[in-house]
Amino acid sequence: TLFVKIVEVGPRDGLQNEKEIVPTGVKIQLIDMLSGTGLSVIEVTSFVSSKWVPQMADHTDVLRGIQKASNVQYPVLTPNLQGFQDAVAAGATEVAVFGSASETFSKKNINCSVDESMLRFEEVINAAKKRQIPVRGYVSCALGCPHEGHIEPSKVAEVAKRLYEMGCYEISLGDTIGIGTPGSMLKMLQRVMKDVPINALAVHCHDTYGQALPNILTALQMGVSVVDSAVAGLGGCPYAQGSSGNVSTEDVLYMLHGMGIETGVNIAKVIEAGSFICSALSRKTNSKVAQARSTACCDESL
Amino acid sequence: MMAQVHSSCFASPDDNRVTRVSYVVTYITNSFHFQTLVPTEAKIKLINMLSDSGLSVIEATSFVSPKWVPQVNISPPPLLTHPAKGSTETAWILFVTADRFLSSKCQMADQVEVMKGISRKPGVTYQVLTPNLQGFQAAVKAGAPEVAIFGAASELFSKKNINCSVDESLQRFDEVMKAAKEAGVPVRGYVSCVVGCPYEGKVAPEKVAHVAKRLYSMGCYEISLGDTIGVGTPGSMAQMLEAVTKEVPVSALAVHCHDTYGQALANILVALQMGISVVDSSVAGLGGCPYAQGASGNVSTEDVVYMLHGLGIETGVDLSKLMDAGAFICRTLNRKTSSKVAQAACKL
Repeated sequence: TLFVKIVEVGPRDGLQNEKEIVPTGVKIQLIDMLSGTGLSVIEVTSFVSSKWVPQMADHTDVLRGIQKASNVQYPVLTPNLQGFQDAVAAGATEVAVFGSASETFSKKNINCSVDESMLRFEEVINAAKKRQIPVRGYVSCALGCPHEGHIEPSKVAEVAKRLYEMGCYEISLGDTIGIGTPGSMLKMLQRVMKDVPINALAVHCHDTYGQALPNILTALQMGVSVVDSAVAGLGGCPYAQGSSGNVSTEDVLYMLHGMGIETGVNIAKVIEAGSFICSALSRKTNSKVAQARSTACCDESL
Repeated sequence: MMAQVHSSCFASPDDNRVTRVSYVVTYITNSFHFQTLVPTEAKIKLINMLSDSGLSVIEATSFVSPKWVPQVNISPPPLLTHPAKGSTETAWILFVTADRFLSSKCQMADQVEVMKGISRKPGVTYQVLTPNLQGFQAAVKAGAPEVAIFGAASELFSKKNINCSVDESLQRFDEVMKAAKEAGVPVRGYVSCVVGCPYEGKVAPEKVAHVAKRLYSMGCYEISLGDTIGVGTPGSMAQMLEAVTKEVPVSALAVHCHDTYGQALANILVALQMGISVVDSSVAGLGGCPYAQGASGNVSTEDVVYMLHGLGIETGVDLSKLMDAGAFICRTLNRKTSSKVAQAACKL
């Protein structure tokens, strides 16, 4: 049977891009609910300066406060060595680093070039290796950049390859502004697969242009078996105010299960967690499945 | 409960036989409110904007509000067409019904005005539905050049909707088909509930194939397969299409996906990979789901076109003009667009 691993990024990527600052207790409750859904990876927070990302200021409290389920990984973002050390002190057992396929994006986002960022990540990865802590690598702007526009697949491959060879066990390719389509996804993956083994690749699609599910489908058809998503589609797009960002975990699960793919995740429980965080945020869910389920008066099989 | 993995939905994505989508059929409305709240001039303007964007088929039809007819999902209002005087254009509109469910509240008195008012673009087809012979006759009398008939792939849906079995409903259309043949009028067929029914749940692919085959052999030039409640996924879509393409040539098939569960674009992608080259959609994603209040229904033409262009597929549509049309109708209806492309593009 085909199996796809879902990497739940709602508590980190999702909340990071929500305007409202969420209380620590709510974050912890959300993560605890997600821990009971069958998800095997939940990205919980980011050890980044609170000056840059106020939403993640409570990173230590969140990581210490959650109830860690035995069969779940709780990776945290660590942009530099300091962040990594803080994360380890707070009990982190998996970390992630965030590179970019776009020079301009790298400069504007983390104030350094792609090469410079790789040096920072190398420090983190080496420190992590010493403690046998796995590191996941992200490549943002894999299908387009808000500043540069088109991004060459070869550049994405170059960054992915560097992260992989430095020691990241998995590389998540992110369509940061959701601009990709099955056409550009195909081209990008074909190129990246030449340099990084397919089973080390994940896709992180944004739904800003409604293309996330067909893009994910294309990736699955190419052999990718790890998909990032966010409960309730949390997190708007910081580059298109008012537009959506992350693809909803519920909608991804609905598609995967409909294709006969196993995920180990209970969609109803994810919908519950989504409903909880949406009411805490006083916002509507972005998940179409959650919307339909809450209003449907008819019978459909999941 | 998971469906069996279907190999067709794992086709290699560059094994894409489609390089050109024959046309994107866009529905300008399936909302009762559109018909009553939108002034005639606005309807005319919208149709003109859509024609101008390059769309080659525009269906101007309307659904009766669930308030009046909860089960009927297609019941268009009367609209008469007038043949263009001495023109060589192939464009025409037809809009017929004598549906007994229509109440006087569904006044469509401005249809004739709309027809007279629009600038018919050469090469554009404007079509509509005719549920019975009376409607068909009125259409032909008015000079309508194309009609549509429909059948459900679910017995229960057919019973609840039009109070007869699927086979009986198709028999009723025999008269329409005969008359259409005699008049030389092409007929498009619609099959509803192709991957799921609000009453029956799962629908057998063989049943869909049976109904599609009937419609095709009765003389429909094209069969539009509708995921009425949007429950389909690439898995069920591939299974259904595999069964249908055994009975009906793929060039005579279209898909009409609803986005209630966010699956529409993924389902359309699978259909394209299986050789389908006609896609139904609705500008701005107008039209909710009558079976799930507040949930979305039609997939947005803008989002479909964005995906098709990204795949390198030609549609002949100018996306920015299409978005203008969508923005216009949303302003007029005072509602937000359901198109993500439209939402994003105006902010970046």
